[in-house]
Amino acid sequence: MSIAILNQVYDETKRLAVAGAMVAHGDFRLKKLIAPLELAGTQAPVLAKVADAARRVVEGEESQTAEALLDLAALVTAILFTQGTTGVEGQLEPIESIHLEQHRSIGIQASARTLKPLLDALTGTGSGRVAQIQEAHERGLFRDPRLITPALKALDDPYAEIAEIMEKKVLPLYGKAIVPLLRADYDPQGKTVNARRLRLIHRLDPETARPLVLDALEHGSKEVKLAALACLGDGPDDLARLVEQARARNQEVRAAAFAGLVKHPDPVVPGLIQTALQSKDYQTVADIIQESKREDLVVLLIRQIQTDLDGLAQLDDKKEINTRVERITHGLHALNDTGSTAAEQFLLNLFPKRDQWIKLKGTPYSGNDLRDAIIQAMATFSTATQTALAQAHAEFEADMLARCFKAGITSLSPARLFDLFSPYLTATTPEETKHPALKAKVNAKSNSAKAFVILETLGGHRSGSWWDRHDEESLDDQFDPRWLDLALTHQHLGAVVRVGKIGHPGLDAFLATTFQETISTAKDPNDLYLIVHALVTFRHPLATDAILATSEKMVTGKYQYYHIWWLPSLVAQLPKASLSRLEEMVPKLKGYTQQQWVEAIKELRARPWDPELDTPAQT
Amino acid sequence: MLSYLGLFTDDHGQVGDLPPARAEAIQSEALEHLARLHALVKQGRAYLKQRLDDPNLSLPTDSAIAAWLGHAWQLAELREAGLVETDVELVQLAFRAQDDPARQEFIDSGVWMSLGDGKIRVTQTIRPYKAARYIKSEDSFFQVACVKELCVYPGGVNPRIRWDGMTPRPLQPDDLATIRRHAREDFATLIKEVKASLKSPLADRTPIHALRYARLGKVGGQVVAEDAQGQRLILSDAGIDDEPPSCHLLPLLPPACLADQVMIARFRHDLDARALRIKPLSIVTPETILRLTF
Repeated sequence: MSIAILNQVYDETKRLAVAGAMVAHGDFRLKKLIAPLELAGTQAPVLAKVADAARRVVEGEESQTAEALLDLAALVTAILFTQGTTGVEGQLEPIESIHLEQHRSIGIQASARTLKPLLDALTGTGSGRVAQIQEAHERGLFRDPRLITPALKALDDPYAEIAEIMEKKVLPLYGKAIVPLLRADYDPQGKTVNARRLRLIHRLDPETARPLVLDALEHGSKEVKLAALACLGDGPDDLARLVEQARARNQEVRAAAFAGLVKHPDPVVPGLIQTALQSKDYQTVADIIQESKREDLVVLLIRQIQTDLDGLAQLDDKKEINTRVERITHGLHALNDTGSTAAEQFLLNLFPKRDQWIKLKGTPYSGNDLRDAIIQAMATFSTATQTALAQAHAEFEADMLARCFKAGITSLSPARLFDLFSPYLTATTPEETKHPALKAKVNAKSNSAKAFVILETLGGHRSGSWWDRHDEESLDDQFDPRWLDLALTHQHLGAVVRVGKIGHPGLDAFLATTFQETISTAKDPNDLYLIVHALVTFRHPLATDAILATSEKMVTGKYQYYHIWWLPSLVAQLPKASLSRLEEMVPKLKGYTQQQWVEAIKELRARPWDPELDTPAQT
Repeated sequence: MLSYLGLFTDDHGQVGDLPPARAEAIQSEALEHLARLHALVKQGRAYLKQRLDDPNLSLPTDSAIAAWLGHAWQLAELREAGLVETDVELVQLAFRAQDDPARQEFIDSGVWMSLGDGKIRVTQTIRPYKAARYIKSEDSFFQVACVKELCVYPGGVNPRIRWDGMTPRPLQPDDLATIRRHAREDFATLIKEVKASLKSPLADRTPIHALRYARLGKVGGQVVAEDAQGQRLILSDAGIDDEPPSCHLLPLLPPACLADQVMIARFRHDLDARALRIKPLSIVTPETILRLTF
């Protein structure tokens, strides 16, 4: 069969279809093909049929041209379907398998119901996506290879936090395997997403990244060039490049160069850093030192802070005071997380002198800010600094007491913590600490204000974020059991949750009362967030009732799934005996909430039997 | 309509000036759709005329014309027409949850193989937006569905199936071996069959088959599946926009997946390239079914 002529007929038919049937009648280009078709038709009868169909288009009744054209199109298309080529000639080269480094887990495939919302989160633009993606990452869902493409696309997500999660947490999971895919989309002239791609390629496969990095230094866009600087290694060539870029006019380029320089063990580096600490790059370099954790460079930073402190108390000029205090506070902040022994000793020596500069007035930085910065540094630096801060609690008013207490939670033994800080609560009545006016009108020196600070530090912030509980969970055992009695006395839900224990009778009674009060007054799902979590966490007998009552309340209100996203996640923690009641709820729910609910019930059903939660009869 | 056909839009779904190659592809696709509609009008008219002449005429079971014209087959009708198989064991090979804004529907489709005869058929749960909250969405299924009574819709290569109830059982290595045995080893014969089915104007344009390849490789940058006789098929994602791309995942699979395995593949004739190509949906190894799409 003459495929060439058939292809020509198809092309002409398509052209006429695009132009419109009104110009098809008498079309000379199609007409020219009729004779060769008829000739070919003597060998292949189907081509004679095509010739007939073509003739009806160009020579048939004009009013029937449109139908004739469609007849011709249908016929030619059908024939072409039988004539398609399939293979390809040539040497078959093996596919270079760059299978996932975790290929043992590649067989783990998520269900569609799990994947769909995750894909929506990766490709959509709404709120609440970060938490969903983060959770999926923690559950290991991204080891499903089908998520590679969406994850690569999310590297360009307009919401930087998501792009960051992809770059730093998700995509590195795939190892070298994704380097070719990253390279395929990499454009050195491009914007931030390409900087991310380059950094990732460098992280996953430095050898492949090397020529790209060198090219980007010469020809890359600003964003890509910055990323390239951060990718430079510790060879002598790279050192020379970094030294050169440390003198660049662009501040961001200089910062990237310093970030590269601190990775070099070369003796030239400390000198360059010391000079930079005396320049307008001070803050940038201080942050880079903090990130590097290099003891020799931290010592340089401490020296610079000390230089700025020397003679500070004698200054009168507000501008000069401001400049110095700003530099010092930034420097102190940069000492945090360095783990430096020199920095620890420096802070312990500085702490007793914190009020020395209190009267200095600058604009906007003053002596007060310097004192706060010293206390803040003490509160977070190390166990030794935290202990010193906690033991000095009596020297502070309510506004700073929270930091002392937090430092004590981390650093002191449970009994010592209780001995030091419980007197603030025992010396105060519940009426005083519960009084709402305390929140607005705090006499920082009064004991009731300090007691309120202790309770709020224990659990006042919880209404905003439940994740804090997980972050702090490992610390919970450090609380002396007597804290729970005090928290219950003061009827502070957040504090009760923080120090609570499963099966405590006073706790159970308090939670039951609090739930009844809250459900009757709650106007927003978030009002119920903490109490419902508490009921489930402490395995309260009313936990299932609370979940169902909350759902009912939300169903009748006009709430979207993201208002009550936290609710289905609690279902799997309920006793298995709740299953039938939970299932009855499903038809009342809508859309995504319903799907989440169904998934949660499935999870509860699959959950192993828990002897403390599920009675044998309930399984 | 534009959204339904996916026509006249660029890769980001935007309507506007398109590159010539893309415009060319769209025109080919549009012409094919027009020819298909034309065939439907002709065949539909003939069928409806028959029905007018004989109101007692039973629904045809040798073609899907009734469904094309909007008939929603009920399970009872399928049973009455004898379109029923008993004691069938099915394994899901692929699954797709789609949102079709043009039809205002969610469509959950599964690709299943009957372990008994190796036939590949599809399930479809259609949930119109308005009724979506009352119809449970389907999920992918990783076990074996033991179906007492399987209803099969009239249709071509991969007809639609439905069942009332099923019992799940775990997927065993023997089941995977059975799926692999059912795969087509001779590409040439299969290609002939696919071409023959495609020429029917109302045939499924992207039929699914299980094929056993001796190896996967590359020729001039194109990924190719080759059977034991050296017959080749080119793999491509082109033109199948309602399923996520999958060809790029092949190099990421363990090396063992690249030779002597079974591929669940969707065939498609590319009218511009005038070539028949396949898109991998899953790889069936002796140990597992690796799904490449969702």
